[in-house]
Amino acid sequence: VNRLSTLAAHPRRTLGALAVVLAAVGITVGSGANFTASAANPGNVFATGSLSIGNSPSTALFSASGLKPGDVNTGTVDSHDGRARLSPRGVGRPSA
Amino acid sequence: VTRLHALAAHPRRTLAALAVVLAAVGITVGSGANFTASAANPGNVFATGTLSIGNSPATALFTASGLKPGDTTTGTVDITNTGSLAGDFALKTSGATGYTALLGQLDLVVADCGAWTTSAPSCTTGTTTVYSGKISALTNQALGSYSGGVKHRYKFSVTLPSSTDDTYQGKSAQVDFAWSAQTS
Repeated sequence: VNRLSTLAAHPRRTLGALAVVLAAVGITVGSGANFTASAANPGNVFATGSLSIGNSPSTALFSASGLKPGDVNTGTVDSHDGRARLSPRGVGRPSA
Repeated sequence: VTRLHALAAHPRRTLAALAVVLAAVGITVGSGANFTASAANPGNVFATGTLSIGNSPATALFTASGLKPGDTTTGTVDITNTGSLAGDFALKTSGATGYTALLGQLDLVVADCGAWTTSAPSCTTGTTTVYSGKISALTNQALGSYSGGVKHRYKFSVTLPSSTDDTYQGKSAQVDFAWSAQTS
């Protein structure tokens, strides 16, 4: 506390001391100068693919009522894959 | 006037006196002489060295499209200290554009395949991994100190993790790999 009081009592001297410290820090940092060099491999592109399903029709394939044992119903749907390969398990098969 | 008359009246005596004075002056001046010597170290030269980087190729290492979870794509590049001074080399990414979140998803492994000798070093065995993490986290990776003329080959492997969800479908991001060096 004594020291701080001394500093507070002599603001000009304190400022002067701070200025000297700042200058010293500046010189120290500045002396870290080096030769430098740089190069780049620019414009690397990373793009993901997409996977999507189109089904036509996209409505119900069956609207069967009044089924009795032995009845057969059929329905068809077109599917096509996106950019990635579509697994056959990805579409529901019309059940017999 | 009387003195000049007296000198003029005895020209021989006057000449003798003048000769004595001349001799005295000569002796006085001559006595200041010294032996001296000199030599020089001439033509001192001060020249700075250079630090520069050559990268081959200097173009993009990746043009990866249609990536799906689990895919890995690779690229190699040769980095040369084309200067005369040794330098501390470093690698970082910069100039990210597009769907930059993808760069926070892609895993990058940078392997130092070693220095060139008469031929390129192998990138399959004896490599040193200098970076392993997300592309976006490659901010300033130290690569070591290379002397002037030394050339290293680096292999980049980029993987889209298998755990990648549909958020990343159909996205594209672009980024630069930037090399830097400063004198050691």
